[in-house]
Amino acid sequence: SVEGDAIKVYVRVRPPSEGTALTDGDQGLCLSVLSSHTIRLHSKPEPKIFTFDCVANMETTQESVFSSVAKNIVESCMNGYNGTIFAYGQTGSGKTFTMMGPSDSDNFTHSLRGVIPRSFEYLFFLIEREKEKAGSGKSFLCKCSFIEIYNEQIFDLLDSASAGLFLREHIKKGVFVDGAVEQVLSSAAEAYQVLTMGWRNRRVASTSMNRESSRSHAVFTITVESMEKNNEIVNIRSSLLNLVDLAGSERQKDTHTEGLRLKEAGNINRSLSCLGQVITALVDVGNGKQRHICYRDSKLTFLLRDSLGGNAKTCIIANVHPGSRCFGETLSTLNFAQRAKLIKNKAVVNEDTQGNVS
Amino acid sequence: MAAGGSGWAAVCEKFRTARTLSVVESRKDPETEPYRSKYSARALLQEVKQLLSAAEEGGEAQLLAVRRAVLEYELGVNHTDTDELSAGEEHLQRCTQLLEPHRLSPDCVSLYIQAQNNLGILWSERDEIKTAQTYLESAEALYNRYMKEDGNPPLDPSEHFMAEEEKLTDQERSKRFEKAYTHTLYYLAQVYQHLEMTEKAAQYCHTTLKRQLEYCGYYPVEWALNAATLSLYYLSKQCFMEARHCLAAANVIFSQAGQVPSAEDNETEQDQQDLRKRKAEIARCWIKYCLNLLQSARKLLEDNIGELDPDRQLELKAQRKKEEDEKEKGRKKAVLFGTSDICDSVLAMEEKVSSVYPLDFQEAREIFLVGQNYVQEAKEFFQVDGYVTDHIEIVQDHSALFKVLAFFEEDYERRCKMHKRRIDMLEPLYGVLNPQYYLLISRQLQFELADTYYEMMDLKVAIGNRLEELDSHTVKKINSLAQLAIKYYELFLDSLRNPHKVFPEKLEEHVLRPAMVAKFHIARLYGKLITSDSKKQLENMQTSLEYYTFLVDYCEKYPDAVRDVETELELSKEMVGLLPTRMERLRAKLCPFI
Repeated sequence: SVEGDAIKVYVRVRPPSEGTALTDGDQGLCLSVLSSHTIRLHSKPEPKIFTFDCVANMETTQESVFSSVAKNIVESCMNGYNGTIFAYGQTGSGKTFTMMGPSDSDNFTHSLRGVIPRSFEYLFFLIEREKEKAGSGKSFLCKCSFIEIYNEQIFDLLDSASAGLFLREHIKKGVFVDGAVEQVLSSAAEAYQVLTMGWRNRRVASTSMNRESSRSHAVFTITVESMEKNNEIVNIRSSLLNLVDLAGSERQKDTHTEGLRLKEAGNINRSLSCLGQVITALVDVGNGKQRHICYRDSKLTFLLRDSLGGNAKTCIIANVHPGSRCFGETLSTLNFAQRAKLIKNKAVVNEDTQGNVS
Repeated sequence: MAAGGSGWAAVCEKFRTARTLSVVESRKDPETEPYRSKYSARALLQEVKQLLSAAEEGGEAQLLAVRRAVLEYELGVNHTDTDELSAGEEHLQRCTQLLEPHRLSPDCVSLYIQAQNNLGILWSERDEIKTAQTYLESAEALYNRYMKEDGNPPLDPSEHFMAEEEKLTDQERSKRFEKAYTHTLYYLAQVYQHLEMTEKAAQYCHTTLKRQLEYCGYYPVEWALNAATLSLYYLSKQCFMEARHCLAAANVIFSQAGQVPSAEDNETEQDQQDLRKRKAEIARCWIKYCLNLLQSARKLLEDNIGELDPDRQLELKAQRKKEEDEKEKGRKKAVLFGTSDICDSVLAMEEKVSSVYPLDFQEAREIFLVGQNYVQEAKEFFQVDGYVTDHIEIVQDHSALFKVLAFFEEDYERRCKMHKRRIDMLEPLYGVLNPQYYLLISRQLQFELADTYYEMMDLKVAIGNRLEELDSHTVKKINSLAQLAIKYYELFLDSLRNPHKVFPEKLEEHVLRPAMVAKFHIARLYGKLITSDSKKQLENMQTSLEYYTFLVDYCEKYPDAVRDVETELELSKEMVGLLPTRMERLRAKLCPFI
């Protein structure tokens, strides 16, 4: 089937936290889910209707989120495409619940486990099935890395001793984090173990180094490499699956989502460091002329460049909290998700034929 | 001025503690209590305010008013810093009200301007940029008026709570006052940018940079990068003299950066790396400068088939002679960076490359060479191993420099060699690039390689046409170039296919034009292939016809596409009309007996 390559946007509404529903009543909700594609935000004076690829209401199960968001992406990953799943939303809107599952359990078999553990299960299920089908002719190699971006610095969550890694590009392999630990995976349970270990590092870091997890982006990357021998020709395919837990959207004041605020000059000793960004914005207006922008995008957008308007299948899960107190954040999350839909992706199979082996 | 001996000393001490808490200590506050020091500072300021009220009787009215205004200012900033905008606004308003009658006096002017700066920020945080604008513009006006009417270094707000012996020197006063005003301009630059008053915003950015230099309030690397970025704005407006000035100043200021030894030795390697990167970034802005200057000149000089128009060349040369004197005058009006010695270095830097349109090969070559030097410099840092995208972008620029230089070259053989140089730099990169991660660049390279081969073939045909008779070597060359061009156009078109190798029914907007051009060029290329075998010739004509037909059919189906490929469509229609008859004639020649 020829499906579009646009980024899929999935909106999930979490149930209001216990207690708030009782006190606020129905009037306390700032939105209503109209259908599986539309959502209405009770804005004044006119309510605003948003349309997405899928809207999940409060009753939606973890299983159904997984099926409609991740299943397809994991499948294409097996076929040599890169795939990315983002979770976006305000802190407390259910990102971690959606991606990981209930926070108090490391239990891989929990019935409420999230998209990530389910993706692991499915990925390894598919690998096993492929292996059985193809016999000894086909082999797989899975590796993973887990990094955190905080304050425009990259930390390796699988090696808590390291700090300050750098992004580099390889002409064959694309963008990668130089020096990040890569762990070989042989099963879903192992993948989950690595993930929870890294996740714990993230939390440890949040107390010892004085930062909180919601201010950082976490990127878990699985590389799936398949090797197939066919009439003495070795066919290697590789693809990436990125699972991204973005910082709470309310913390992203310095990204494009920002409104009209002026950047402050700060205290006496600081120079006017944002001037460059102001000028860059001016140059952006310049039409089709040759230019080179010195101030590049953030580390995150660089790392995920292929996923945003590049060369991958990408899905964004926008998590929102329905409470009326969250109206502003919810509106900005939905606006972000709306914009994301406009980004077009083009996926291409990577077939690297490496001549004769005999 | 000494108001009440030791009591006053205690007040000053409290005020100073509050300042330290607010500015220094608050940076060390834990995440869980981000405003702890700010709140302590606030409490102290409130105390000071109480003490001042108690001393109200007897004091000198203006002195008291100013001191109270300082406190209101500090409280206002404190509240806005701690996300209490409304309270902050009240305090800042009270501050300006207290100062209103005295705002032009040296005691008050700096404080008044800073209060207005902060009101500007406050209103922008409420997304009311127009209101912010009025405060900032009034601060700007006040500065100008004060400088015109008085001009003596005014008191710094902090001095109102200092003992006589601690007061600042005139030099320090002036520095702080100018800094506050620089901030006004910096905020105004942002305001104008938000209001989409681009030209004004650029002008304020420029002035901010200039003032940073004058008052030594800058980090060299950052300043240089900002100036280089500003040059890009001027490039987009075709203001080459201004663009060059920014870039030359960027180079001069950047060279100061390396001279300052880094304080922490363990960071030096990282710093060095960063420094090298920034230098390469500035070099890349220079490349864009050379490229834009050459390309704009080309636009001026080309005739309707894209060749150098000698009449136009003469005309422009005459015109330039006339304008040269006036240019010199215009230059003096432009805002120049730096004071005497910096200014001299900048001028020396500027002399290395022209800022007027090159009108012949010699002039174009000089600009080309400058650009090429910067290509080498940029590539030293942006090596393909580690910086794939940047590296390829630089090589693409290098290729573009050759392309535009070739326009000025009259000798076809030499021109062809220049295009060959482009092939030699692009082809190896394309060969190793993985389109799974670099689809866009990969497509750009395919297209550029195709176009280059196409251009080379055209040149060979032109050279061949001058000969009495086409020799077999030239024929072979033409055919092989055409085949290579076709190969790369096809690769590009293939990259548009979906995973099941099917060409899209409807082309996406951003690839529509290149895809159509590729189809059109392939059609033409099949038309140009030379063969003595009539059957083969018939086949080529057939293929050519198919590609032309694609264009015509597609535009019929999707009329929106027409405006993107008007000329190509017109010619295609013509060919679709002509080719079948030609083929018929050829067929008749092939089988004369039927």
